[in-house]
Amino acid sequence: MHIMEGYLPASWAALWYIIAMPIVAYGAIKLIKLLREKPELKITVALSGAFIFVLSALKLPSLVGGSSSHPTGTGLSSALYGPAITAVLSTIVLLFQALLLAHGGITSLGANVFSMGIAGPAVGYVVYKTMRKAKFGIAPSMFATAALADLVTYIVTSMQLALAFPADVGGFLASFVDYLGIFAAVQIPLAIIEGIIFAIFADYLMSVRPESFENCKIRLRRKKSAPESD
Amino acid sequence: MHNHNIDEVVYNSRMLNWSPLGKFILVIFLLVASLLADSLVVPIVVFVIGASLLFYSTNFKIPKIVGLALGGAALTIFVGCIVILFVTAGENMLFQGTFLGIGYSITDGGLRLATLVLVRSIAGMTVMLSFATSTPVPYLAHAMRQVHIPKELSELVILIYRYSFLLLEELHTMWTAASCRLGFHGLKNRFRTTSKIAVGLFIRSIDITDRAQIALQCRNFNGEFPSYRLPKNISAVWIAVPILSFILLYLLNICTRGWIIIGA
Repeated sequence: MHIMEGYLPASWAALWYIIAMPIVAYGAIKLIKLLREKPELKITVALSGAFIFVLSALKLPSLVGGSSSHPTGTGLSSALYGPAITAVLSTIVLLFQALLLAHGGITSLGANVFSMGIAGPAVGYVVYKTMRKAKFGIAPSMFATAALADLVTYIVTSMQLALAFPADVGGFLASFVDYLGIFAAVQIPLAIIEGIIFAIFADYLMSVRPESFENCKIRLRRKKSAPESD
Repeated sequence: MHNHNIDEVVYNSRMLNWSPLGKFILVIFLLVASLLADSLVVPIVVFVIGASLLFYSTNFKIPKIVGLALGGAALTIFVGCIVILFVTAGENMLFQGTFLGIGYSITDGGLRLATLVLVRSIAGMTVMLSFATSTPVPYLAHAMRQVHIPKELSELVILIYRYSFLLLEELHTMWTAASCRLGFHGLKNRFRTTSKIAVGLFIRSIDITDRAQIALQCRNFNGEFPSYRLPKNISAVWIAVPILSFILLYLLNICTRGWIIIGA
């Protein structure tokens, strides 16, 4: 769930922009450098962004009261392309969602980018890298990455809302617990479901298109071997 | 399908020839003015402006996709406002009770803030949709270039938009095919089918990339997408109108404080 337009007070909306934009700018600089060196990658990167957009249109079965929700898709993107590029792609996707689907908003874009495009993918990326280094299989690694990226996104969203609307008694903490409680009923099952779906996804992708993950491995190996070659 | 609908609406808009950057600045100023206001009158005025622009842009015909977007978003806003209603502090207690053994209370401050956020969000939605229904994404990318955002990013915006709807159409086809084969019968099947559709979509997206790359290289693609039909540039009027609107809304906020008192 994104924070809607007009929901956050002006001061908080501005603060989240100030926090999110340097990270998005860093990602943009990285992305521009990459695209200038290899313009042919533009299509691949664009399709990754489109894939995030479309995944958010995928209705997932929910264990709670027959309701449904959608994955964020950023866990997969951060595992494949890294958190910096995911932050830029998420910003573009969130802007489209706000303008075309009235899902999210322009003044709340900074807050949404921070939760969905930065915090979730960053945690997902760290989890993915740690688990792969610890020799976990691709399916359990992807399960943890997708589930945690999703959960962190919603924890951060709850935090943002609690900071903007602290409770009468108990202040930020009480409000944070309230928001977490409301999200938890839907989000914990949803995060597990998203994890399962992306674990099956990764397993199936490994069997039909192993080079998708191989490309990432090669990229990581190149990064590691770069100082040695210097 | 969705793409054709939204493009049809956008290219038939009566506001199509307005400067995209000018419209965007106006939208930002209206949204910020609404956000800064503590009087309920300002978001109501912004809603009237947004709704008028939306009706004018779509020629008084709200397309089904816009209606669906408004409906879905309104539901989310409503749920969020209920949360604000219960967690916000106030001077006077309006209502107190228990639900499933959990105590709750509604204060005048909570009711006031929830109403303000509700009206502000709905106003914001109409203003954003008036922009979305009158500005094609290539025009938006052109506006990005006007403010010196690197062309790599503005082109990426166009490509993501185009491919998003291409993939959405693929998704729709795959979803229908899976439903026809009882792929969503039972929870286990739902999981498996949803995952396979996600993988199928990913593989299709890679195939589309390969084909698009070859097609573009055949046309001497060097990483640039030139635009030959450029939208109108921003003029001084488009700077003056948003600033004037913002000042008027700011003054309106000061003058109308306390006009509408909720929960008194």
